[in-house]
Amino acid sequence: MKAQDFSIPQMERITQHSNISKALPWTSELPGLMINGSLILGNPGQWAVNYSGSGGNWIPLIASYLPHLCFAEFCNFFKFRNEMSWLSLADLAEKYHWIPSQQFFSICEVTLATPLQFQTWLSEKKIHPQDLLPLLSIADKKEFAKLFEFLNQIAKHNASKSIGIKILELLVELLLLGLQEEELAILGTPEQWQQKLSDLRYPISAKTFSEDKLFWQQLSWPRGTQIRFVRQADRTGIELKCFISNSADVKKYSQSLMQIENIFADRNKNL
Amino acid sequence: MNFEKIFIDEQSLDSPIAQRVYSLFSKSLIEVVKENPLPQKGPLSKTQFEKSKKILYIKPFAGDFFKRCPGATQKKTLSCCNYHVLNLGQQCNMNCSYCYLQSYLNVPATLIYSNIDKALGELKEMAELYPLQPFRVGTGEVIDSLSLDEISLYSRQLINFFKAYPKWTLEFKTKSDKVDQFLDCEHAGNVVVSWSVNADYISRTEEHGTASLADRLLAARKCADQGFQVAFHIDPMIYYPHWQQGYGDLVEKIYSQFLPSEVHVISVGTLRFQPEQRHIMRERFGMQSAVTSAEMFPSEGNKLRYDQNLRLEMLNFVIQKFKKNSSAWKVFMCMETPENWIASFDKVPNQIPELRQFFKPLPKLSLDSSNTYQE
Repeated sequence: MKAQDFSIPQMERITQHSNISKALPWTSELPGLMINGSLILGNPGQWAVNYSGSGGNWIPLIASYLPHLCFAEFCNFFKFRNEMSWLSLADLAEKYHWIPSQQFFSICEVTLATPLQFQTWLSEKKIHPQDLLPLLSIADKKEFAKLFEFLNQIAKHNASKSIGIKILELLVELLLLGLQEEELAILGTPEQWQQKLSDLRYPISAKTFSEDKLFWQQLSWPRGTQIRFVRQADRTGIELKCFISNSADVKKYSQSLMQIENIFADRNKNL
Repeated sequence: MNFEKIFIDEQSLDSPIAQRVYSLFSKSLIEVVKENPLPQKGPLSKTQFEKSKKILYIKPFAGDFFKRCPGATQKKTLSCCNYHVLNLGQQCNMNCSYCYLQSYLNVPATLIYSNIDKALGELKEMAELYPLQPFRVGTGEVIDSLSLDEISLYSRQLINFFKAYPKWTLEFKTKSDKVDQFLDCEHAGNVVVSWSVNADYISRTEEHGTASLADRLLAARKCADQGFQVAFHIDPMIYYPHWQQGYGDLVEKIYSQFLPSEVHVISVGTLRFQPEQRHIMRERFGMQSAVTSAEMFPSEGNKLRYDQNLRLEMLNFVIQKFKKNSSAWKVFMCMETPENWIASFDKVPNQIPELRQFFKPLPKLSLDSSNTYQE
């Protein structure tokens, strides 16, 4: 940033600002940051350095204060875009490696419409904008509001990033499929909730999985083996665990598994 | 062809396609531009994607026209049929819910490239180096081969070009019924006009703005009667409660209207898409669609597919239905794993005599610095 881009900064006491201070975490031990009177970082009562100027390139200055900006924090800049006409949001987004497309800004908008508790979770878990794409599918405001309680539950139960975004997508899809809110209510841990929603979203696969699991588990597997019926990507099957220490073990398991092979062959014929 | 705006790059003004556009559309729609009037960063939003079907942009293409089919890049995991693609534009004026262009395009307009001469030059260079190799060249990868052909008439130029290379095959792929513009062209018997066809229910509910199944089959009949080879792609097969009835009827319609000898090949494949595509599909079509509500799982090539057992059941259903009618039908699976080939045919494609010609490995080609292709 060139020296002539802005005037000599002034220290100011932060009083009342109706902008982004509360959402962006900032230490009380360092002065906050204001640009052209808008508070970027800081808390009421704290001192802030106020830079002002009309033609400044403010991005490097903001980046020097905020080397890492998560998407939920970026949304706060978007929220106050009208008050900060001096700031290019597209440039700011690119600085943090987001592509400032129409879709990206639509995600900002829809994110700001979610409950604050959920936005805090987004910030804590450093959720990416692409993970929030399902939110764009609900155009109707009433339908969107149906999500609020569930989004708060994701935050309240401190779901992990991966579980939380899976739950979010499942919820959106199930609401759009016409399921009632009662059917989607949280059950146990976030992991159990995700499983419940997943079974609702993939009913045919869930039913087939249960039936196949029962079928395969009741077969007589070689003694001493442990089996588990699992899905791996687009296939389901048996995970088999056995302990082999000599050739006799190999022979014993192989002979026993031959019987299972015939059952597999019969089932494949029926596909 | 209800374009609301047409841009013509000034470098394309003297091209035959620009002249056609001036003759077909109101001048008030047309604007000549010096540079890209629609700069875009990143993926298209729902609104931009939908608008891109209403904006036509005629411009020269700067890159290489001639490429291998994306299936060839996944040879380790998928069986590939040596298809090459010649992209003469991008986007489509129809609106299928499963269309992969939804997550592929990053230009908010329908493009038709004005420099087909350059494309033909690339083809000529290849064809003269490998006149006896059975290259298959298709024009329907990122644009429907024929739905906008009444504007460009590129089909006529391509058919004429391929007369000189009878070992090579030109393949058009469409969901339209636009064939009248080239039916009078003389050809060397190496032009395949192919239709992507689906169960009638799926055509009506998921393939918006396309020609009806009956009209597609009628157009295919017209081509067959003029000596063109026809092909059908039953792809993507989409699961819905009465899928067996729907796809059974489709197969019966094909074999009641065509002889195996008239049909170059029939490919079958099930629904598949890149994971990121699900978002824009859901946003555009909601969840009351057999595509968006499908139960999909991560699979080979980083695509989402149905459970492998369901895929096999659906593919086998169609394959067996054809085989029951006649063993002469040449049916193969598109973008499927060798495991599924073995499950359906007991063989990988190279071991099936009538399909060997499609799957025979071709020489590896590359364009070196002197602009010549090397084996």
